[in-house]
Amino acid sequence: MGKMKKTIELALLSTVLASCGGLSTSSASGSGSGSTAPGDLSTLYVSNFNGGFGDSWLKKAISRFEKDNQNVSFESGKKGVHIEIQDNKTDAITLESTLKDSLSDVFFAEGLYYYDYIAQNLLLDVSDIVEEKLTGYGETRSIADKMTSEQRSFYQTTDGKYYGIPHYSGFSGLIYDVDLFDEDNLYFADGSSSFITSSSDKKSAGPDGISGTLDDGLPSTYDQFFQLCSHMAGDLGITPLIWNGQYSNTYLENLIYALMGDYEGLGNMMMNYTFSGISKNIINPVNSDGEYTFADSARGVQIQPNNAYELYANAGRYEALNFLKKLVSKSDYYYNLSFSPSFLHTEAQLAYLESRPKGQPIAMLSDGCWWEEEADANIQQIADFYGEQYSRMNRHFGWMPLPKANQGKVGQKPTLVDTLNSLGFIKANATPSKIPLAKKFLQYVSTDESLREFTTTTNTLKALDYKLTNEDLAKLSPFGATIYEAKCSSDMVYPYSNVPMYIDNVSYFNMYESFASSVGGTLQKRPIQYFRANQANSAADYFNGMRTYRESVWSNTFSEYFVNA
Amino acid sequence: MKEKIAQTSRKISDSIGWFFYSFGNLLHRPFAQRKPSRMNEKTKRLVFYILLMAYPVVQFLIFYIVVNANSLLLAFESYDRSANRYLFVGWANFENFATLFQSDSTFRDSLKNSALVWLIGLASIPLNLVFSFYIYKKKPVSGFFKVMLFLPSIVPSIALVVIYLFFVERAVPSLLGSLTGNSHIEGLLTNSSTLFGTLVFFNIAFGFGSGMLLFLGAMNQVSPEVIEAAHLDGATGLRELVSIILPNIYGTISSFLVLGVAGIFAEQYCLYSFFGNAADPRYITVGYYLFTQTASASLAEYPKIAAIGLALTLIAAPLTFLAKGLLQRVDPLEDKR
Repeated sequence: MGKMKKTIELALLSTVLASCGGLSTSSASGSGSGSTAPGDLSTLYVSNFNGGFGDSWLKKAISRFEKDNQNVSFESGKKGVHIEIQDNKTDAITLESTLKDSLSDVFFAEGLYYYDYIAQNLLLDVSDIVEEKLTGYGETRSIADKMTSEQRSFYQTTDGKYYGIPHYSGFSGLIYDVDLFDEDNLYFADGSSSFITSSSDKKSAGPDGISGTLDDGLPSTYDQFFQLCSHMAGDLGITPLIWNGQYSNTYLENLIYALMGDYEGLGNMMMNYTFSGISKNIINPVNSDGEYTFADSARGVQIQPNNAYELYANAGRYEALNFLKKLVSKSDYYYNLSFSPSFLHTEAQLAYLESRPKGQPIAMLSDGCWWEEEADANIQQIADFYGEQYSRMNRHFGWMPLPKANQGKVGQKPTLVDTLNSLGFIKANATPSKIPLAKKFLQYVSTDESLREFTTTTNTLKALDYKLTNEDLAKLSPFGATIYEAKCSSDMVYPYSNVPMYIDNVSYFNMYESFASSVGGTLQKRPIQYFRANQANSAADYFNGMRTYRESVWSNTFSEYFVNA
Repeated sequence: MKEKIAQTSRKISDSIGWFFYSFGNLLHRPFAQRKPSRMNEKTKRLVFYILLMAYPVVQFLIFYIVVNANSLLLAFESYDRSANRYLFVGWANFENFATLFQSDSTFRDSLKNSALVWLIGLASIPLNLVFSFYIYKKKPVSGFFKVMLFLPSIVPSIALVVIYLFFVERAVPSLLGSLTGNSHIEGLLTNSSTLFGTLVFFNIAFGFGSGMLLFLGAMNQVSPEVIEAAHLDGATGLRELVSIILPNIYGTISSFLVLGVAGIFAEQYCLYSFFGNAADPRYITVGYYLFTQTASASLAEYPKIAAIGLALTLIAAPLTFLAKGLLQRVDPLEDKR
């Protein structure tokens, strides 16, 4: 009895002590590799938003950085570097309040309000590493040189300083199963409105209007897109589209915003954030037949802060809403769980991936460019179960160039909209002795080598300008190659500006708030919910209320900004 | 065999007990060996009281007083980005409340929904009382009811939401589909005609536990002698509930009602757990509206939201006092308290 009692006491005591030890270990190592840095290495903690883009790119960058700097001293008495990752999914608002107390000094985050962070003195001035030519890495450009002019004007404050570096590029649209399209000849034939009947038939020129390019045979207009959907759903028993139900509003609004951006182009889209310029795409109210005329197609409408509500009546917005209305009005066009709040985005990806091997094919997925990286574990599982032909490198998915609103728009340069506002930065209260190391690492991940490695690892893109080599291209998955191709051939909209009216009311100008409309005296904020609940009402009803609503609240809400305009 | 298992389990429980006793002794030893304190008993008690209360009081000061005072001040301020501080602007932010009320039918709908949700909660109280009384009387399977109704209160709400979500969105359509042969049946939350009812059912069914616990506790406080006297006078179960139990637990019921009025604009109805920031605007409550607005606001937008919050407090506070006054006036045992 006594012996047993002692044994149990000892076991309990060991458990208590072990759990205490376990606690201290986990809090010290964060969620990184878990290895302990020897005392003679400089240690840096890096916080990473571990969403769709994952952290494999960061692990690779760290590995190279540690190797490249093994003989470099960043702190007195220490040589070499050890970097720990702290993975998290902290949203930007929470991060704002916890940043100062974080163990990490370097951060990769998304969705944050850059100017709010700066105003609260949360970000360290990194102008030196942003403006320095990267000659030490064999390059001739600085990080600032790799930004677009829109990015530079946003990230460089009025006193000429940079407090962060654009991180990954997150744009949304449609993904299509190339293997399925090939097997079932789901391409439009050249010179006709029907589909090819064999792979040797010549395909139509696609949305870019040029034969011999990647988009050949794909629907070039919205009408063709829905013709394709009907063809799939009717004759072939294919579900045309899938998206997740939990965030169906968000993901479909991402899609219609992408369609709107593609119609409007970079210049017109930026007016939504700068509130200045001349727009030639503003239209008069749409009639019940869906017809409209341009407000002033010759001279255009001069946009200023006091009349920027006019932009809520642009043609791209109407066309995109009309597209959405058609899409959600016919349940044959989408997967049956696509509006269920129980249907997660990862489930939608899995259902899409499994659909073909299961014999219930789904042709397209509405998601972001990061979807394949996010679904990497699912892809691997499917390949393990169904065979190697379903692996990431063997299976062919493609980023679908968006169809154009009408034939007149075919051939117009595509435009993508990056909606994630992702940023790499160093916190303002970083440990002084760690700052040189933190800056060097932040700069390091934006060198061409790191940017290319990011893309070959994740099959996604960074929000900076860089080119892949042929060797890099060979490492990409078929989907990754189409993503890179899409970026190279498109203009990119970064939906933000440093105009006070924008940065003070950033949530108001958020994409998800931009579809509010006053329909029949009732304010509607989510067009998807409206169209589903009001099947008889047209996209025109919704669209005409958008400008009306904005005009009614504009001067009350923003008059303080008109004076300075 | 059974005896051996019982013996072993007794040994284990004894050992665990001894372990904690020894551990307690170990901790106590250094204090026990100290010299006797010069403090008198009264001072010791005071020190103990201060140490005991310091943490909750500081917590209350920081997380209630300071937070609410800050929110109150914010309602009268505007953000100056260049100086990173808020400047006093008087009542200017309240104009935004007026604009919002006029132009935003979603906000007006949310006010209506908050009132509706409160009324539904009110209507469910009698049901809650009946169940509590049933369990109090230890009627058949009352133990089962007690566990089943209280269980949701100890399970994290997000876990309940997920379970319920999958039940109404996957199991129910699948079941109905196999019964009717229709494979296109939407989930109860996907279908807008069943959405609100499904939410109401969730909130009533899974919110039962906390109310039941309060009512049951109050019922157990009623003197058994009074109950026994009522029985001797021939009171039936219904009479016992109406004439003995309800008047005696009236204080608890009225507290429940008053708290409901006070929180009328804070109730989110678990909408965020179900839908994130994309709940159908036709069914949102004020609590949800304010929460989602705050979650996406920039520094410059906080004052406008604080002003809305304060304006709503100005509506809710008099209503709360009114409810309290009315309920006190109709207290059946008021002269006996």
